[in-house]
Order: sequence, then structure tokens, then C-alpha cells
Amino acid sequence: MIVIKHTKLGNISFVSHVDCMRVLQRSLNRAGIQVAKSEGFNKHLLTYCSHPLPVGVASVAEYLVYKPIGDMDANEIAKKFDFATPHGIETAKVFKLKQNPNVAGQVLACDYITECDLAQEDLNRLQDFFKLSPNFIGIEKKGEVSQVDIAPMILSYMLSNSIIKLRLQTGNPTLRADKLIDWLNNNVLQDSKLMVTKTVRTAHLVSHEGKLITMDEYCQMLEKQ
Amino acid sequence: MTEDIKELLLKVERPSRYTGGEYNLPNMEKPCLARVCLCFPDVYEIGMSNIGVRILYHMLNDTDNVVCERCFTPMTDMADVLRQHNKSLFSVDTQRPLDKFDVVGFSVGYEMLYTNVLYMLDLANIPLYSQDRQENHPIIIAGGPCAVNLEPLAPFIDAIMIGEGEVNLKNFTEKYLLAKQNGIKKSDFLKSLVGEEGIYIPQYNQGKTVVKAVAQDLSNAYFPTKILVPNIEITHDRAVLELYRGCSNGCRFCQAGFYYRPIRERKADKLLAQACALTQETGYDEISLASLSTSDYTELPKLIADIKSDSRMAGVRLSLPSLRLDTYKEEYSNIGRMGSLTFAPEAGTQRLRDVINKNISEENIENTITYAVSKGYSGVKLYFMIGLPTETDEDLDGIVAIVQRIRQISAHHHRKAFSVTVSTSVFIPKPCTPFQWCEQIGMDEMIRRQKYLKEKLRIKNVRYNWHDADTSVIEAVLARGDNRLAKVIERAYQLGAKFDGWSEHFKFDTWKQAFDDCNIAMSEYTRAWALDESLPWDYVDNGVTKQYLLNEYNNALLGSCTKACADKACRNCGANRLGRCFE
Repeated sequence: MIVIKHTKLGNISFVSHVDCMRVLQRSLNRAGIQVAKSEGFNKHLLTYCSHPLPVGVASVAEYLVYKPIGDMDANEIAKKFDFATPHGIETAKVFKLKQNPNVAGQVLACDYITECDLAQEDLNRLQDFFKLSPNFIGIEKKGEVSQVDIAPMILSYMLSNSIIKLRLQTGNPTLRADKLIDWLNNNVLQDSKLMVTKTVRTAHLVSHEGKLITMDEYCQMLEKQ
Repeated sequence: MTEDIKELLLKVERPSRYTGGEYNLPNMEKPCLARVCLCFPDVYEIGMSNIGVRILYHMLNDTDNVVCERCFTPMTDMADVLRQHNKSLFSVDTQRPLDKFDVVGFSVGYEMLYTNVLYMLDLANIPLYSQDRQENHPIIIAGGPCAVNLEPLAPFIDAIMIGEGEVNLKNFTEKYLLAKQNGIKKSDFLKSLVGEEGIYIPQYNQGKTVVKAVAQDLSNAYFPTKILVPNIEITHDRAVLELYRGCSNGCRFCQAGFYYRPIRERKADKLLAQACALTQETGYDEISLASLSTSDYTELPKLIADIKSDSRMAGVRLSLPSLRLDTYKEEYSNIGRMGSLTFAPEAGTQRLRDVINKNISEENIENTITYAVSKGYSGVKLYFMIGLPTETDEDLDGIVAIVQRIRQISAHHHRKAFSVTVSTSVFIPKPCTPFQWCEQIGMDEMIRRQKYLKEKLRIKNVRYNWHDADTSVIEAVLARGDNRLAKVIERAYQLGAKFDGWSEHFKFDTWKQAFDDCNIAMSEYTRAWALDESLPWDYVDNGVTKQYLLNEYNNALLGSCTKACADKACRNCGANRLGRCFE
């Protein structure tokens, strides 16, 4: 399997996960990268993506996995792929693995960075809020608002006036960065606002021997096997 | 894109409709003298599927000193957000407000899009009427299939492009660049365009004939292969080849068939090269061979064989829309999936098919259906029209008889699950057709005929769909409308009409009120018109002469067919004056 770690920055961050999958498949076609197809009646490319990114959130750590036909050098893949992708999608790394790393299913958490310009009062409010446990917030899903305890879903945080770093649970269940930011804007912050569009996903984390490691480390490990 | 626009986009559904950034985006930063925004008065997914917009957008961007951007009608949620935040409608490519462009052009393909033109101008804070716009406002131009009679919109438009954009829009742009370099005032520039091929200036034309612009050598006409690849799924999400323009069949209700004459084909070897380039540049794995009647393209078997045998096209699927029952060949069936076939017999009896000059016979229908059933197709979709001139209930019974015959054929082949979908639209007398003088049946009668069919088509594995009667009435009124309807369109827009082509948005009562408020009766435009009455579009020379249309109208009443045009059998419609057919 080939894993392409790529960015999703700028205008393309407004493209939904499903549409982005199509964009990536067409990019592979344009790049002339040969991808295996399914065996069914309606054949489709055997490609897999990392955990969905909320619309408007950018990323420097997205993963596209595909089953190749033939062999191609990693640098060649990166070069061809970058030539064929729309602006905002660019290769960061290519891994060649023997097995499918299941980039969506394995992920337990994701790291996010949000640029901001917080007033001191708001920073204090945020710090107080994050210390609470349990910590219920209302999250709207399919038109219904449900109260969710987010305390166990915020695995770590670092707050400053200009930058916020969050490690949020991803998988079962997921704490979406955009939903959390919206809620904080409406319920905690008063003088300043956080912006979903200034939020970037920086890493996917998977569990290995009882601790969290990044998807890059995980792929490197698989590469050596 | 600015941060405030980004934040606005998070408040709307499918924000990527408004962000651009597609693959193959032309250079928007190149130095330019003219910045044009090409607008399509419907949503992104529909506008991006339009081959005309595709061609003109890339043609303008490939022109020195011109940058062309796009804008599509924002959905109501986006419009609300724009208004709430006091923002002007902006282009997709660089988010530049529409009122900051030199030229804003609308491609109008359907009468029910008229209110969306006003909606977009309004959202862009551009005065609706030409006479209210100042020197600093963009020049508003419009073209597309509706340009054959754009009189109802004329008071809102500065210049109407009649005919093919490769010719008149190119000419307009070249003249605009010169005028801008020389500092010529907008009004003087517009006056200078009077008399140009395919350009109609409503404010200054004063009854002069406008000759439709025609691309003479279609094979060598501009056709882009490095086209934008949308980041979201669009309505026709595939590459498209245009095989030819015009149509030789001469169906008497069909506007496109007459308006796009003379008939000009692209050469098969050029099309093959375009197909290869398109798939390589876009990554599409499906390519559609488009035209008004694909199976009539003279080099179709060769083109299909060439595409299938070309290694560069391996794995690329072909789709053949607009096939005719009489020219359908077995080799076309091996192209796509064995799903359902779609044909348009249009009328249920041979008598009525002769009236409308749809040269297909019962035998053609039976043979093709027998073939489809025996080869394993899952079903057939049939399109008919109701309300055609001289139609009676016997003709409706003819539709039912065709369906029953299909059921018999499928039962004979032990294919009882073979499905039949019957769709009926309502006849609309369109300008530039032999039926342009005909009346449209009343709404009550439309509904009666639809119910009649609905009752009679209660047959197992047969599905019946019909087009709303009230939409068809408004479409007919606008299609044959004159410039008095501008105030009705404006009033309808004020009352909330927009996205009228969408059944979930269309409100007949709004239009009814708009007509009442303007004291204009819809029936003035749906009645039968006397053959010697002057028509709102008489100033347009479409090539096909009025006398030819009149002869065809008389032939229709006699039930007499006119054979399809062929290379050495010209029917003398007049289109040859504007360009040679079958070159």
C-alpha cells in the first residue's frame, strides 16, 4: 500500500470529505499513478482516506492510502501527485507499506492548532473552562442538541493569547474541533472569538504499546516491517 | 480569500460552491485591461455542467489582456448571509465583487432563469435597468439559447449576444479592449456595436436586423481541453465532446434544432485528439459525446471505434446521450452499462409524429425496444409531449398503446421486470420554430390530459412522470414575450420569485400576481398568433427564414413530413446563408 501524507490548505479546506475523496481519486488519474480497482460489477479505485476533516478546518496531516499497480519511486509519486492536485493539496511524505494501515480506523486522537488574538479576560475564562471536570457542552447533531461531557475527550490542551493547541478524541466518539470552537465562542468567550477557518489539524495519533504515537511514526514503523 | 468571507462561508450549505480553486484554474493574476465575469443564473453544480460556459470561460482567459472569472446564483442561504453582512455578490475565482468587473455576462439557457438574472444583479448592488446604470457600472451582456428572443430581459441588458459566443463574444471583447485603451465612454462604445454580427444593443438598435453569429469552421473553432475540474460533484460530472451543432431532423417544435443551424460537424480525428487531451488533463473516466442528436453524427461509428482502440483512452467510459430511435445501432449498445435506454418518440400516433415531423415509425420503436429487451437492458425511458398542435385524446391513447406494446414485447422475451418510464412535458411554442405561431393549450386542459394518461398508464412496471402545467405556462409566456414583460419579471422578483426552474421554489401565484399587478394577461402570449402578426423577435435573422418556418407550419397542418437534411439534399431553410452545412 502507498500512503501519501498531504496538506489540505486554503480554498480546498471548504471541500467536504466525500468531495475531497473524489478530488484525490481524479488527481491520481491525472497523475498517471496506477491504482488497483475493486473486483465488483461497478469497479472503483481502491483508495482510503484519513478521518474526515470538518469543512473550513485546514490540515497539514491528511492521509491518502491506495493499492498500487506496479512499483513507483516515492519521490516520483510525490512529484506526479503534486502536479495533478488542485492548489492547497501538496505531498508532505510518501510511505510504502506492505499492509493497509487503516488510517481512519486506527486513529484515536487528532491535534489541532488555532491561531487567535484572545483578550486576557477571555484567556482566563477558557482556562477555567478547560479545568472543569466533568464538563458538559451542548453539541448539535442532525438538528438535535445533546449534552456531551467533553472533559474526557480533550486529551490535552495548551492555551495562550495567540495560539491554542488541542488534542481531541477522534473515533468513537469524535469531538469535532469546529463544534467545540463554535460552542466556546457562543458560551465562554466574550471579547474575542476563535475562528474555525484559522484552525489547522496537525497530526493524527494512534495507539501503540499503550501510548499515543503519530500516524507518521506508525507508518514508519510499518515501513520497517 | 479574506478571513471575513471565509467565516461567511461556514454559515452556508456546500461552501465549496463559492470558493473556486479548481484544478486547471487559469492565471487570474495576469496583467489585463478587461476583467469579465461570466455568470450562470443557476447554482454552481448546474452552471459548471454547461459546455457553453466552459468554452467561453477558457476562450476569454486565453485572450491577451482579458481575465475571465465565474459567478453562479447563490442559494438562498448564501444570499441571506451576504445581505446580513452587507456584502456584495462575488466571483467564484477570486471573490471579487461583481460590480468591480468591466463586463458581467449572463448565459441564459432557459426562460425560467430570468428572475435569477435580476436576483444576481440585485445581490451585486448593480441597478437592474440599463438606463439606471452609470459609467462606473459594469457593462451587462447576455447570450445563450434564450438570446433568440431575449426581449423580456432586454431592458436590463446592455448588449445581447445572438448566436455563437466564439464569434460575437470574441468580437465584443476585442472591441471593448480597443475602446478601453482609447478611453471611449460606455454609451459611445455600445452605440458603436450596433450593426455588428450577432450583437444586439437594446437601447440603440431601433429595429435594425441583427444577423446571428455563426462559427464557420467548427472543427477548427476554439475548444478547450485543459478545463476546470470541479472540486464538488456537479450535475454532469464528466468530460464532454461536442460532435456537431445544429440538427438535420427539423422537428417542428424544436428551437435548438433550428436555432443552431447551419449544421456543422467536427472532424472525427480532431474529436479523438480532444478526447485524449480532455481525459489526460482532467482525470475524468467518462466522456460524453454530446450533440442534439448524437446518432446522426456522420462519423460516429468511426469515432467510437477510434476511441475504443486508442490506448490513451483505456478505462474511459463513453456515454451517448440524445439517441434517436430510427438511427439507433447495435454497436452503440456495447458502450455503456446495460441500464436503461432513453428515447423521445414525442407523440403517440404516426399522424401526430408526422405533424411534428418526428420521422420515426412504429416499426422503429418496436425494433429498438425488441433489441433492448433481448440484449438485457433493464428498461426504457420514453419522452413525450402533450398539447402538441392538433393533438386529440386518440394521440394520448397512442402513447398508452406504445407502452402496452412494449409490455407485450418484454413478456414475449420473458422479461416481465423490464421497466418503462413515460415522461410527458407540455408543448411550448418557441420562437424560431414552425410552431412559433401556435397556441399553447390552457392549464386546465394540460391537467386533464395529464390525468387522462395517469389513469391509463396504471400498468405494472410502468411509471408515469409529468412536467408541472403552471411552469409550462410561464415558460411559454416568457419564451414568446416582448419587452413589456420586463416589468412583470421585475415585479415577480420583488414578490420573491427566483429559482423558478426548480419545482420546490417555483410559485405560480407569485407570477400570477405579478401579471395582475402589471395589468398584463398571460393569455396574450399563449394564444394562437396570426401568421401575419409581427413577432417580438422579427429583428433577428437566424438564418432559417420566416418563409421556411411558415411553409413547415403549413406542412404540419397537412400532416406532411419534411425529410432530414443531408449533404446533397438541402431543404433550403436559409441557414446556408450564414455558413455552409455539412462542410
